[in-house]
Amino acid sequence: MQANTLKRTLFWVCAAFFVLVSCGGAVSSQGSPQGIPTNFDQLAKSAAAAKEAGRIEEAIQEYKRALEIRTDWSEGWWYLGTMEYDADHYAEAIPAFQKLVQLSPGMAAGWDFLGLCEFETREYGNSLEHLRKAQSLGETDDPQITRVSRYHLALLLIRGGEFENATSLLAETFGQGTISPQVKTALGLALLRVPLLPEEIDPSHDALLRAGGEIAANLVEGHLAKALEGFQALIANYSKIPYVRFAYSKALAEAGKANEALQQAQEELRLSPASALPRIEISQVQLVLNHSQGALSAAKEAVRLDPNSPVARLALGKLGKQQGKKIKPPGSLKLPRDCP
Amino acid sequence: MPDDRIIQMYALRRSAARQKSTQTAGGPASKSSEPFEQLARDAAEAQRSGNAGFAIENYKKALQFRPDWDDGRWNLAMLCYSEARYPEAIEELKNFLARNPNFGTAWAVMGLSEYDTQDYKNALIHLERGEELGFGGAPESIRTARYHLAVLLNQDGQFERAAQVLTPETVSSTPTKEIQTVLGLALLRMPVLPAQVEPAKSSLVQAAGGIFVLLQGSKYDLAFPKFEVLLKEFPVTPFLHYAYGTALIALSQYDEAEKQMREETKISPNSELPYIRLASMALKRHQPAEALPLAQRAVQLAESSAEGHYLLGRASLELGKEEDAIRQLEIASRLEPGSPEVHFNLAKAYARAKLMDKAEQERATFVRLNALAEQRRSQSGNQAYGAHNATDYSAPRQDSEKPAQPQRPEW
Repeated sequence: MQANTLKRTLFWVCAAFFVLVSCGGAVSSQGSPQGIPTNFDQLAKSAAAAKEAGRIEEAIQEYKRALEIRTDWSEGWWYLGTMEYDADHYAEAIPAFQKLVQLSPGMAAGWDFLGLCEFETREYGNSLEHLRKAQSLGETDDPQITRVSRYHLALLLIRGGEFENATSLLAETFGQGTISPQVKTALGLALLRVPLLPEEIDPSHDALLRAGGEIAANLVEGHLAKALEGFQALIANYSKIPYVRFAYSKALAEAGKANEALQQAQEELRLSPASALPRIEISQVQLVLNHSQGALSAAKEAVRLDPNSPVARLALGKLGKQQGKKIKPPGSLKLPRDCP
Repeated sequence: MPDDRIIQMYALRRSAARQKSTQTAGGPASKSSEPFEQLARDAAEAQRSGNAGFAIENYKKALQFRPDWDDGRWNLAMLCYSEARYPEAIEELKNFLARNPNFGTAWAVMGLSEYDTQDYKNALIHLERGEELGFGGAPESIRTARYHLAVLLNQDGQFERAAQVLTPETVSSTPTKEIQTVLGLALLRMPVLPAQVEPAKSSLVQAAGGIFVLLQGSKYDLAFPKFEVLLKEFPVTPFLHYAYGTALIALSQYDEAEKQMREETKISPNSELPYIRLASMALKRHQPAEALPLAQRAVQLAESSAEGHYLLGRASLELGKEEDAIRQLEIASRLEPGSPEVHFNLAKAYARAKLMDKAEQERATFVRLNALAEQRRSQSGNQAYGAHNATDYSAPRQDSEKPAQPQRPEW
């Protein structure tokens, strides 16, 4: 963490140096060595003063004017973007952050804010890409920015059907402290495999999502026994909801209750006959129970149902590895390279 | 592979008319505004003259022309609700709230409608959301919303919260019989709806509610004799001794309180609550060796009890077991990060273990949380029974919120 901070400090020192050099070049080429920088300096100073005094609209205008003179002033784009963001002017903040990340591509916070603004303007594809970029650059100095950014990234992963990745991200980011109701809702969406944002949900499902979120939070916090109790109550109240039993089966398997896990996965199969997921689960549990034939046929069926599912193909591959032989996938499908 | 069933099942369906109007060229929305204006006028006129059925019909027709007409949608929802057409009210409110998600009153009316269709779990969530965002409307409507919220909180086992929601109703006037019933259920920690109270227990619940009102008004001298009478009549009722003991603690009558709590442990052996009170009293009386096994028992019975871990941590600290204290207080801090007391004691424990950096960090957290708690106490000003516990709570920042005042990164 300290090393990162240092790296960033050095980066900004270098950036400032770069800005000065490039600005000096521009100035001398115009033959007015004193005029423009002074004007810029004055604008930068008055923009900062307006910002400090809380005169946000004025500050925004001053930063804009200063940035017209020096378009490569990263700090200015940062302040302009964050002030627009803070004033809920997300569409206006986006170009500022775009410029910032163009100038400083290694600055995670810039990507964070760009992605957050795009989330607000519902440009979900861009938002996902940029929040992912931010995450790949590591944490910012402000943990709150990282948390908010990752929460929104998780929502977009859920929206895109990447439920396991979303759960891992939420667990990693929020699993150490008290899990907030919003994060629980996101966890609930992932557990129930609902590829929607919270505001897109019919309010009549709020109670179901809350119950699912509580269970998922218990799983994240390692309270497996509590989570299993929660599943029982959930099934008692919502017996026909898809993927509840699938999630329950996985939790039971984790608790070493393979027979019960198999039973729940089979129940899920009845509820979701067109899904590869219960079959993958059955295959894995059958393997634990040393029922290799059952495991094999379930895995093959999963691959047949969802040939593009890497999880299904991996299950089949793993099975082959365990049995020490090459398993021919159904039809003309190819197995992943790491399969025997 | 996306599972279309799931999207169909969970996604909020906006008004069918709206979809139709946007899909069909030349549909109702693209026609002249004349029929809409006429229908809207007829609806409003029918509503004014008390012809709810006709008003509902006209609002529905008008909304086919203008699905985004918020005032019309709201009036329609309210008419459906007042005519006890709850499923229709819920559907209209969903559409209204999709466009106005921060309107607390609409969430409250949705919660009330769900209550009437016996969808209690959603009703609780939506009434709570309404309360958070702020109820509006006539005082009687606000009272109705609060009452139902309290009923559902009680049914959900959130007894203290249930009583807290009803506090405004008991402070300014004599509470109604219905409110007294909810307070009685909360005092006796009975997670049921008022309608589910067995007839044989209704006098007990009413009497308990009456005592609760006295306690909320700090009228302990009047409440205690009533406790004695009730305990004679119902000596093995769960949580009656506990409630009496808690009231005695508020007046520092520890010997009698201890007796009551010990009785409660016999009646409710699986509850951590009397053990928590006993451990807390032992610490107040500077008897950490006595507090330790009591707190251990509490944690054994309820491993996720922040208060249990906090008391166990404090007892360990006072007995010089710093390592144990740190472990327990860290658990308490994780379970209840907003408690100033936990951070204060954790700072002490770290300091004793010579972990000065951590101690300083905890001290700073304590100062911040304590200031917040002080602010809340001065705002509520409520020192009565049940107004505070051994730990204090503050709402942690929401993860969905904007980052507070974005900081400039280090340049």
